[in-house]
Amino acid sequence: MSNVMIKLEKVCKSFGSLEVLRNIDLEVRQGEVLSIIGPSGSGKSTLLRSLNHLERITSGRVTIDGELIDEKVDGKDQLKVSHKKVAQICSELGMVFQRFNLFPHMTVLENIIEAPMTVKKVSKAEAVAFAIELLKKVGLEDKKNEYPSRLSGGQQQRVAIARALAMKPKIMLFDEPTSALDPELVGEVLQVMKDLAKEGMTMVVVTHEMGFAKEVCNRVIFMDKGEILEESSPEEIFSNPKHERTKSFLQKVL
Amino acid sequence: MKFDQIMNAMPALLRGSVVTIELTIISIFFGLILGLFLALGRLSKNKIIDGFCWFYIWLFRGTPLMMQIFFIYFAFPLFFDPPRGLPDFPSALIALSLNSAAYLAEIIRAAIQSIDKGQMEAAKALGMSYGQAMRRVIVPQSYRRLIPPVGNEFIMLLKDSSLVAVIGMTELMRITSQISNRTGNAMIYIPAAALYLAMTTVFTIVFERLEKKYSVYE
Ligand SMILES: Nc1ncnc2c1ncn2[C@@H]1O[C@H](COP(=O)(O)OP(=O)(O)OP(=O)(O)O)[C@@H](O)[C@H]1O
Ligand SMILES: [Mg+2]
Repeated sequence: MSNVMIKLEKVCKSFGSLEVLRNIDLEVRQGEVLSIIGPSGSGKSTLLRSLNHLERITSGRVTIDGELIDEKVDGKDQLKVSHKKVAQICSELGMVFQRFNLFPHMTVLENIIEAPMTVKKVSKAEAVAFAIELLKKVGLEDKKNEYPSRLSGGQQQRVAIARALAMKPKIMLFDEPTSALDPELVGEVLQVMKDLAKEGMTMVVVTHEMGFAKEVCNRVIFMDKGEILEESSPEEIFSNPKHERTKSFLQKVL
Repeated sequence: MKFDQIMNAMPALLRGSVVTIELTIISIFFGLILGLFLALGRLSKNKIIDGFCWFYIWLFRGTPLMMQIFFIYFAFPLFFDPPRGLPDFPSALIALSLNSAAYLAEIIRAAIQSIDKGQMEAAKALGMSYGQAMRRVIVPQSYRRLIPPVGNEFIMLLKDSSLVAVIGMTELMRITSQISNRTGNAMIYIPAAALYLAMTTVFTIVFERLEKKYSVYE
């Protein structure tokens, strides 16, 4: 049995009186590709963001690669690890956003070498060499000196993936990575993600690309109103959803 | 006014202009540094730091610059026993720097807040600390947005620096009024105004160039 890379136990998250995550229990194993689907506002992004401290949970426990990174009981912080340690664990999770969020004042290459150099204090030569390798992998080596604004959405998203990979993460989180793209640019980004999955990267992908979920994911969870309503293999959930709400959601998106 | 009278006054007027430019550039320089810290303080989660910076800005924007100049030159020395004042030039610099810092702080804060929130999130997701993200990602992006309002503040300061004439600084304004008093000819204000216009025009162009230079990535 491979390692559990992500473990959520009874995780709740509220914004004021709005409960966005309710009692989430979830495990993701090494090399697994998990897809999260669900209607808008169901808490998919919030779930993803509570894995790397972009959101702090209200109660429950979050464990990444065996290390506790968030624990709250009755809203009180139980975490006894240093900020530094938490930051280090969180940097093992790469994140790709819907709107790319590349640094517009840096070239493609500078975007990719920035975090390894500032955070990990890697030498410039080493960072550049690895960045070039990653750019080859996403097929954008010739764009290394361009500014992001000069690239298409699909190219920007591939750079964003390369930038996340530059930190050598053990887990990659994708929050609707293709939703902001023109339809003809979706394929190139999905291809990069498929390659990553094949290499054995542990991935959590919030997506509306049911084709991708079917083809690449080992497991799909359906979220609604802050709860995991249904969890099964892609074949199972798409052909034979158990829950009425899953059914009606899938009818709308498929 | 006769032409040769203007020509005779010109060297003095030019010397005054140099003092005006010196005062403005040095004050905006220190104003920007202090203003950046005040802006970061205003954005800090620490209530005390935020409160202190708020108070500073409130104080310096809410009182006349002339009063601040008087205070630093005349009243501040009285805190010492025996009274110890600063010469006019450093006093003027301190007053102008402290005052412009308050305005620049609000400009910088607005520029930082206008940066897309996704930038801080991306930086954090890459493992950067708040300080690293500010230094490497957020603040550099605010530069281009800062240039027009800072240029504006610079022009205001260049004109407001004429107020330090009240503590005897011989910048362009004071020299002009001295000449006017001595010769009894108020027409000397025309070449002086032309010099102010020349300075503001040149610096407006400089800031426009800077803005172009920093917009390469857009
Ligand atoms: N910072 C915040 N403050 C207050 N409410 C928030 C905040 N972030 C998210 N929410 C609310 O939490 C709920 C869940 O948001 P979340 O972004 O996780 O949904 P989602 O499933 O990702 O939806 P979408 O498919 O539209 O991206 C929404 O009702 C949203 O308005
Ligand atoms: Mg979302």
